[in-house]
Amino acid sequence: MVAAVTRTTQALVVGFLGAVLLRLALGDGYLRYVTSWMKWPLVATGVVLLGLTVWMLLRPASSDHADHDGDHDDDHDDDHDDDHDDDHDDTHEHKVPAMTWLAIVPGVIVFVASPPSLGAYLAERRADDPVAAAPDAEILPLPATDGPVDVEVAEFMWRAGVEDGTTIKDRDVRLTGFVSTDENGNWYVTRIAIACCAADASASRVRVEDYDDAPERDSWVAVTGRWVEGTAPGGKSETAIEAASVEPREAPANTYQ
Amino acid sequence: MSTKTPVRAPEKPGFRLGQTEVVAIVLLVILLSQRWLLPLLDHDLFNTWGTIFVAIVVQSAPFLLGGVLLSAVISTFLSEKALSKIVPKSPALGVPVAGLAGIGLPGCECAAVPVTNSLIRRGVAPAVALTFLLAAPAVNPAVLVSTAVAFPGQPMMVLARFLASLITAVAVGWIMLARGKLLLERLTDVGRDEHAHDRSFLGNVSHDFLHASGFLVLGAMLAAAVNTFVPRSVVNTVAGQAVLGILTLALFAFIVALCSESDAFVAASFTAFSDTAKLVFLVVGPAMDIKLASMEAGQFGMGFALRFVPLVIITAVASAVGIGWWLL
Repeated sequence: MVAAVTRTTQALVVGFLGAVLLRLALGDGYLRYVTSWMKWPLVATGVVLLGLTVWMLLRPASSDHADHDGDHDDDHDDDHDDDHDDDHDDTHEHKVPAMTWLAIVPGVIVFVASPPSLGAYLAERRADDPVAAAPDAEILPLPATDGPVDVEVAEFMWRAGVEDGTTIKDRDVRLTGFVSTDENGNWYVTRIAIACCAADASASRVRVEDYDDAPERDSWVAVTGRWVEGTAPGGKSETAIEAASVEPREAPANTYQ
Repeated sequence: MSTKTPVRAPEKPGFRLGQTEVVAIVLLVILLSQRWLLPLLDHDLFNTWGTIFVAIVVQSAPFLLGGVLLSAVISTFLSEKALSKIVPKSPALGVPVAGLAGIGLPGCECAAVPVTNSLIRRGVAPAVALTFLLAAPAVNPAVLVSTAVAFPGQPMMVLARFLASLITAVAVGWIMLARGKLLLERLTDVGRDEHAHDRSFLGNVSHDFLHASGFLVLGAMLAAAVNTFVPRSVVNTVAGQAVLGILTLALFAFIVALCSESDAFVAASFTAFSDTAKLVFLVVGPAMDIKLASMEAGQFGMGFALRFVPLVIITAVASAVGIGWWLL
C-alpha cells in the first residue's frame, strides 16, 4: 500500500506541473515569464503531462513490469518510490531520486506567490547595463505624421545614439512603458525586453524631464514629448525626453518587448 | 501486495527518512524565507527571483519533455542494431560524427541530457554520446541564427562560436576515450538501467521525466538566485582585464545558466568585454552550466559530474580562447 501511494504521489507531481503549465499557457500568465511563441509548446506540454499522469494513475501495478520483471517481481512495487539511496541493490528499475519532489516547487510558487512581470525593481538594478546596439540596417526616418509618433523605448534610445539623433530631433514622439526611478529623484519611462525567457531580461529606459510629479512606480504611462538634444546612451547624459504630457495607461498583457 | 508489505517494512523507515529530509528542508527553506527573509530583504527581491525561476522552468519544460520523448523513442523502439548502423563502430570516429549530429537537434541543453542517457543505455559508447550532449545545444541552427541576430555585422562571431563549441565537444569526447577510464567508470546510474528497453514507451517517458525534472528545478532555483542577487555591474568591473574578464564571463556563463537560444543577447550586452571573453561566455554556457551540472549529477551520478564538469569548462575556455585569438 505504501508503494502504491508513493506511485500515486509521483503521478501527482507530474500532473501538478502539467496543470500549472496548462493554466499559465491558456491565460496570459505565461507572458510574465516567456515570449508569446511559447504558448502552444506549453499547451502541448501541459496536455502530454496530464495524459501521462492519467496513465501513471491507471496502469495496474504489474502492467508495466509483467513482461520483463519476472525474476525480481517481488520487489517491483517499491522500485517506484525512493530507491535512489545508495545502499539499494541494483535490480531495481524506475529509480526516482528524492530530488523529484522539487518539481512541485514551481507550481507552488506560481499559485502561492504568483510572481509578477519583471518591473521597476529589476530595471533599476540593471539600469547601468549597456543596451543593445542599433540595428545594423539603414536607419529609416520616422513616418511623417501630424500627431506624435509611437516609438518603442529601446528604439528611441538607439535613434538618439546614431547620427546625433537626427531621426528623432524636433519630432513629437510618444513612449509607452512603466515608471522606474533613481536615487536622485528622476523618473523614467521604462521597458524590459526578453529574448527567450525572463532570465535574459534587459531594461531600457528614458528619463522624463520637465514633468515633476512622478507617477506611481511600476504604473504604466504614455509620455508624449520631444527628445532632449545631446542625450544618448553612453553619452554625457542619459537619454531623456522633454515631456509635454503624461497619460496613465493600462498595463499590456505582454509587458515585455 | 499484502504479503509483501511485512517483508519490506523494516527497510521503509530508512528510505522515508532520506526522502522526508529533502522535502522537509525544501519546505523549511520556502517557509523560512517567506517568514523572515522577505521582510528583511524586500518583496521585490523575492518576486524577481520567483519570476526568473518560474521563467526558466516554464521555458525549459517543453524542451525537457521533447528530449524525454525522443529519449523514450530511442530506448523503446530503436534497436541496438539500428543504432549501430548510424553510429560509426570506432568510437574515435564516432566522436566527431556525434559532434556534427548535434546540428540536428535544435533544442535546449535540457533536452540533450535524457537523450544522451538513452543513447548510452542503448550501447553507444559514452564518450560518443557525451560529445553529442555537448554539441547539440551549441551548434544547432537556432542557436547560430540567434547569435547572428544578437551580433549584427559580426558574422565571425557566429563562425567562431560554431567552431569553438564543436571543438570543445569533440575534444572532450576524445579526452574521455584516451584517458577517461576513471571518468567513465563513474557513470554509475546509466549502465545499470538495463530495463529501459523492456519498459513500455510511456514507462520510459514517466521514468525519464521524473528523473530529470527535479534536477532541472534545482538548477533553475540556483540560476535564478544568481541572476537576481548578483548585480551585473559586479561582472562589469573586471571588463578591462583580459584574463580576469575571460575567467569572469566563463564563471558567469556557468552560474546564470541561460538558454543557448538567448545567451547571445546577453553576451552582446557585455560591451565592455573583449570579443574573446564574449565568445568564452557563448561556448561555456551551452556546454556546461549549473542547471546542466545538476541534471548530469542526477542522471549520470555525482562522482561522474564532479570530474566531467571541470573537464568541460576547462576545455571550453581553452577552445574559445584559441578560436577567439585566431578569428576575432
